[in-house]
Amino acid sequence: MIKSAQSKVEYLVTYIVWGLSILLLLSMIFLIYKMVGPGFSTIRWDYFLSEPLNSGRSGGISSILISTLLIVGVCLFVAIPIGLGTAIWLTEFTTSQSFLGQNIRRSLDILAGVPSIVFGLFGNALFCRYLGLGFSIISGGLTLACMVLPILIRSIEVGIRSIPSEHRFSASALGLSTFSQLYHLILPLAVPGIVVGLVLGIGRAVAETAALVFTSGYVDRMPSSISDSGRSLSVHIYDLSMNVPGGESNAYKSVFVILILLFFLNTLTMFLADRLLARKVMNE
Amino acid sequence: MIPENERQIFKENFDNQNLAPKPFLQTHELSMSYRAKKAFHNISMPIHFGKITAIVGPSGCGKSSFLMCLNRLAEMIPDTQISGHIELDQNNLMKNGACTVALRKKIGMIFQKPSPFPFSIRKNIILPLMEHGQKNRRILNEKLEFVLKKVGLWDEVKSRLETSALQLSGGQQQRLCIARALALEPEILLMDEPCSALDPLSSAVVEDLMKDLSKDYTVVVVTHNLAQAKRIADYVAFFWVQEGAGSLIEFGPTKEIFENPKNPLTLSYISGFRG
Ligand SMILES: Nc1ncnc2c1ncn2[C@@H]1O[C@H](COP(=O)(O)OP(=O)(O)O)[C@@H](O)[C@H]1O
Ligand SMILES: [Mg+2]
Repeated sequence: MIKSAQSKVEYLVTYIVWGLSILLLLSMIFLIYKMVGPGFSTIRWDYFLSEPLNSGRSGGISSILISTLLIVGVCLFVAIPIGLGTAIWLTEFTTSQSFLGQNIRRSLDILAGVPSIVFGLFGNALFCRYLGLGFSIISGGLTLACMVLPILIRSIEVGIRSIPSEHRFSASALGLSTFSQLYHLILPLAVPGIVVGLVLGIGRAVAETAALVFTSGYVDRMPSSISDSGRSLSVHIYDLSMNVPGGESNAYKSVFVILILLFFLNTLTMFLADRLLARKVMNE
Repeated sequence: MIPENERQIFKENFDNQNLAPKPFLQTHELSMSYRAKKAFHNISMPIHFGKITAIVGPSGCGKSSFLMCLNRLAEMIPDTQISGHIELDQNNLMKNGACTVALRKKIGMIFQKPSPFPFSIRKNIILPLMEHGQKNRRILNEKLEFVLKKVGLWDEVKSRLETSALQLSGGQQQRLCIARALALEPEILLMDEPCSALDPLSSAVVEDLMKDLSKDYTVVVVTHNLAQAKRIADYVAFFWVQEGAGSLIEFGPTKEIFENPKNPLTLSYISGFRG
């Protein structure tokens, strides 16, 4: 009796869990279909290769793709070393209870939730005006780096802290220096955390619109250098759909491109993390 | 490093006074506390050269903490306070600025839970060697084979040196950890309950190994197993919690501790009444 009642509950729970997952999956498929469908059916190769014409109503997005990659590139170039360095400092050189460590952690968590428009205004004031970088790809990239850093640092830190302390003790007991512990053991084992941080960070950077409008601008021609202004894909989509009558079909194509770009960058991240770090350890 | 002439003098002392050998390692009023808790208090204890010293006592009496002080690993735990000093071959090894890397090369440690790195078997042993400056492939391979033979693991793993050490059984992992420590040619081996996470068969293998190692190394072993202490140890230190902190109740040659303990606490512990 009891047993069958129990198994009934178990069945019910199983059905509910399955039902919810399928619901979620379907809504995701629907969303992606709605976003990608219109763009996918009309996009042609030359969309990637030609510059936008007539405010983006016609032509392609070559200059915008380049600007986006440059902005994200500048962002990661700055954010990855600082992020790794800070996370390592937080885990290796402060204890989880220390005053400094705790307050830095708390500040990072608050910063991670600050609206991007605030970062945009900050970046505009600091990079564009005070440091005289003007509306430029480098200003945009640096602003994005500020936005991405809190997430990046905290994910890497959690990744490093989740490593069992036995490894550190046995490594130290063998006289391994802090550097080689980090290089051979800690960072390779923290790869899952590092990848999570990078994927979230890249997602945030590629998706960012508001902060970039104030820092890298929205000029849609091909940038001549990173001190030139450049329009990112997300800004392009925003502009086409809000400010350019008749830009809708090209906006959809750009949506398709941005999803491809995210997929590509995330795959690249995982590949590189695996190649550069994770290969150093063998879990099984 | 210890100057060669000092070492010679020490060896002569040792040979001449066989009855009361000069200790190799000696703690002086060593105390340690964690942030909220005193681990052990005022322990002065000798570790004799080339002998097995067993530390016995109930859980929580500071045995592991004491052991971790001997190679200064305890300093890695945040907010620990250590006072007193430790003398190794007449050098104070608690000196600020004393090189922990060299110290830990000299004093190897084996933990309760086998803790091989998530590397291949080969890399587990070779990485620390390379870290300490050995770059020669041929020597590395020779040492690899030598230490794996020493712990009786060579025949079991020689065909799969490149596979992950985590695939080994618990007993094999523990022997790998011992081999890894031996590869650095330490003089002292600290072993914190090296058998207690192992099945009885592996445990017996590791125990035989300890006995064997004592021919070439000075061994300090923490053990829960009194019978084991009786079988392998030359000296026994008995720890017990007094006034909230671990204390050394009695230290002496194994025979004396087991047959003629001076302290009533020791007597009741070894006869199984307490602890
Ligand atoms: N990392 C730590 N932080 C705080 N207290 C600890 C820590 N490790 C051990 N202790 C405490 O110190 C005392 C001695 O512990 P330990 O040296 O592990 O004893 P034993 O090895 O004899 O069982 C125990 O009361 C234990 O709770
Ligand atoms: Mg212990």
